[in-house]
Amino acid sequence: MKITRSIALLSQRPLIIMLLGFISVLILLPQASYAMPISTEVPDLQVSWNNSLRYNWGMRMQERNPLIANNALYDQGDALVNRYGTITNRLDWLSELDLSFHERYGLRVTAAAWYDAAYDPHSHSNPNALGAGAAPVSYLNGEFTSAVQRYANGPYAELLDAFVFGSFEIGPAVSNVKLGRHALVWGESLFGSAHAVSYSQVPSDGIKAISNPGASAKETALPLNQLSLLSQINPTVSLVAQLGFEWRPNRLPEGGTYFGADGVNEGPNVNRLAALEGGGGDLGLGLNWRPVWLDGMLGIYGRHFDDKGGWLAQVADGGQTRAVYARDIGLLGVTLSKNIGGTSVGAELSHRSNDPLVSDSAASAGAANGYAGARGDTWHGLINSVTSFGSSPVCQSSVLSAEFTWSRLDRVTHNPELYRAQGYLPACDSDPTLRGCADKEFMSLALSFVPTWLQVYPGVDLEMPLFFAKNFKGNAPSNGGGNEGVTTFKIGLTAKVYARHQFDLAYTGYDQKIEPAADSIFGSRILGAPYKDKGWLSFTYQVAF
Amino acid sequence: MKYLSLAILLSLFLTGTIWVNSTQAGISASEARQLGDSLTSFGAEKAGNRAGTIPAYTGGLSVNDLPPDFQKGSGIWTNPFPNEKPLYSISSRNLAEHASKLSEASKALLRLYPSYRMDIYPSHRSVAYPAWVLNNTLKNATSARLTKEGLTLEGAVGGIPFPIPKNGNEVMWNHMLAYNGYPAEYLGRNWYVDKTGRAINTGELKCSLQSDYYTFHWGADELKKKGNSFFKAAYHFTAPPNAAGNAAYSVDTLDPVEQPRRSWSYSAATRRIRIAPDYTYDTPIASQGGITTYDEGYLSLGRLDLFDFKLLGKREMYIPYNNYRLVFQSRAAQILTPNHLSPDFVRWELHRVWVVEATRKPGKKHTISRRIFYFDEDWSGAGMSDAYSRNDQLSKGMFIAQTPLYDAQMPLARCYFAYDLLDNRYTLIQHFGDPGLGYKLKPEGFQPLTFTPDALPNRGR
Repeated sequence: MKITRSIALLSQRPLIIMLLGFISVLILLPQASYAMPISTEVPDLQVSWNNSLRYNWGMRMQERNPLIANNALYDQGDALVNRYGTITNRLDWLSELDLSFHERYGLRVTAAAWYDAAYDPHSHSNPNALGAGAAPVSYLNGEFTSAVQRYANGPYAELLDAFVFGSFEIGPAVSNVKLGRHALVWGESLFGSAHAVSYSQVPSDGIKAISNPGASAKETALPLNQLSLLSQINPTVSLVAQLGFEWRPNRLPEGGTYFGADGVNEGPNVNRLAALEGGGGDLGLGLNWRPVWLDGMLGIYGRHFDDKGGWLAQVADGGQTRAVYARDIGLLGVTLSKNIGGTSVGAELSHRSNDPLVSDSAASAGAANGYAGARGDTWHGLINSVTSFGSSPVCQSSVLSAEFTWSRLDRVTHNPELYRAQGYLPACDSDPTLRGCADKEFMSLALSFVPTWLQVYPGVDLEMPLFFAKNFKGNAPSNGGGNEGVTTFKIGLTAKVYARHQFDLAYTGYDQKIEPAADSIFGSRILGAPYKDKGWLSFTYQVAF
Repeated sequence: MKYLSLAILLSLFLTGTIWVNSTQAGISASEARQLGDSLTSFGAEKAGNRAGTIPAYTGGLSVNDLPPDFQKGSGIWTNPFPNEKPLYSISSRNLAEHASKLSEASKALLRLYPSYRMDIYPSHRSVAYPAWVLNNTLKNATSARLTKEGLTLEGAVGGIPFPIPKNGNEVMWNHMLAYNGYPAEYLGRNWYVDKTGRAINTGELKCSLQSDYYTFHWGADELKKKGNSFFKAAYHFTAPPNAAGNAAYSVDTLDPVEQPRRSWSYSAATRRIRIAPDYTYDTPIASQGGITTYDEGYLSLGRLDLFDFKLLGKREMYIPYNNYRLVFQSRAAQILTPNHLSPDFVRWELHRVWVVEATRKPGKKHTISRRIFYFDEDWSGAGMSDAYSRNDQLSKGMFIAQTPLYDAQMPLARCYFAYDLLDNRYTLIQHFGDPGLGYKLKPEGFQPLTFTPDALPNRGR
């Protein structure tokens, strides 16, 4: 079902002038109240239309790292922009229409549109990159394909939410039902879902998530067609359920773009066969229990779903590759959430069966077995906290969030000869971690600290968001579960003006394990996405109206 | 948590720091006989003052006092005294003459802004209570008691807990437990005005309010068994656009030591309900321009453990009273003038108030070192406070605008405003005067399972 469509948004040249004009008009306008409710003649019918406009500008701040720039697997994305070059100059528009009747039944439709003036369609690469013959190419006839152009350039628009909802009473139970395209995230995870109960519950827009600061989960959690239910049986017990009708994959930065690895995914289908996709029958059932003695919530969840992230380059026939999305993953999880001494604490433990594992890049299970990789049972856990602090000598208030994530292989159940790990694959005999081979155990930590200063100038609140995340132990056994050493840090300054304008300036940097490798045709080994030289400065302006 | 709090309590008990302050239940029966005699059933002085400027209490506005332009069910209560003119005005010029009846913040505002003025109207003791609240109040008089160093209330339900208060903590609880428009649903807007005079709408909220303490006619023991809650607020943002669709729910209980405030939030983006960390004490509220802190909802909300509350007695003071025009019959654009609310819309009256001095306990941390509270003797929820910051400098004044709901025989004091006297900004919370806004009583109560975390998706989207 293709419901996205291209619309003409803005011509390229006057973009900045228009934007500056728009910002100044909005800021200078006398502040009235928000004018979204649309009056209707129908009693008890409420219609509201909210819009947010976001401008992003980004500049590369680092020189190329030769270990990335000279590796043909990553040279094209690295060649795209020089240090101090503009990586994004982009306008995003999110529009939300909400309609409700008697506050019980309603409809919600949202759409996002974007245009990036910094997009350069022409091919870039390092002519001296090592292993060029063995590496995928990100271009067709020296240019990006239309798929890349759609996400990285536009103008383009897509429908996001599109669902109807209702609240019903059946006996003593009160149920909230949603039908149509909407996103659903269960469990307690704070930063990412790779090891959460909500793993692959919604596809994520990884392109917006990494390259579009300010994009909220309203845009990065891609909604799916589904029926969902939250039914309160009594004040302490609720049931949640989900039945999916649609499957969509995660979006990843496309090959040849600033944040992409060359050649992967939807974009350039050079020498690639069509993906073997998931289906639309995701099922989920959960129980929320809030007993008085616990003063918190225990959740129990069972899910059966198809992967939204895939083995992206499975070897197929004739030396070609294809993305393969694993079907029929099972998940059982328990969660706990509780306010402990003023801190909101969340914890999850889940077990997945038939989980796609990190697999051999040089082989697959072949046509008869759907070109699959190895699969197995895995354990996943996380514990997180959110704490609010009041006034201190440094700032007026602050919020500290932290999350520790853990995962461990239980057992390999299918295609063990394809499991990329020591003891399974000879290629993992030495330096297994640096070679991207799975370790038995994986651990990761993420920290966010946001100090706030209110009314620093009339009508202006300041925040300084600080973020640090590091995978500090092992490569996760699960495919896409994370690589040791991958680190992201961000330091920003945010000004919130008159409660509706927001300006952000941020530096985002990355670290990872990276080493020269004389025995590799690519000349280097890079663990994780090639971001060590991709540190960048971003400026974001957003306004809601 | 249970074990942790148990351990803490146990250690406090062992070190003898707790229970020592537990008072005898209520007042003596003979003292209680003043209620309904020289005092009203809720403990106010029945008689007026000698000067005749405060009238005797005669039962408040009755259901026969409906103004002609009042429409029942409209969510708007119109002014029952539309033809009254101010008796006189107080400005910086005649401040000295009235100084003894002005709060420190009122004096500071008069001195700060030449355009600031207080129009004094005839005093009307407009508050009325239904019979069952008065009956409960009489019972509470001899049974209510504070335990755990005044932090926890026991033995009271469905009425004013301490009609004849003996200490500061009892007065604070009387205010927090004012019979204040429950159960109800409102749509209101929050604003602040920065020091350049720009009015900023920080939110439009649809809120459902319930007090189990006042709603279900449970006994005190049954209330305790069923969660001991006196304030439940479930709300969702309808504006600003970046918050619209998000929802939250919070519960306050009579025993904030054992059952501290719990809050949950619902995100419209992920449709996820999460338990919130505590936002308490001196954490400033961004949506109120950073002027107020999380323990200052309706002047005071939350655990009383950081301050010592000393009852200073009763005084005659000018406080905002019967502010129907300000709360219900004004557009935000009319009243949100630079530096202060338009004096044309704020009605002040002379009333007797209980005065409590709250001093930060030694060793405790809070940006405010001292507060003086002034609460209406008729427990209408009306009142005001002066706040002093760390170097004992007057930094803030807060005021509640009360508007008794004459048709329902119920006080209402939800709208409040606060002035930052050091940074020249102010905030107005829960204003219902713009078109489409209003406060609607729900005498029939709410659907079952409205006040639960899992009901939040029914509110948001």
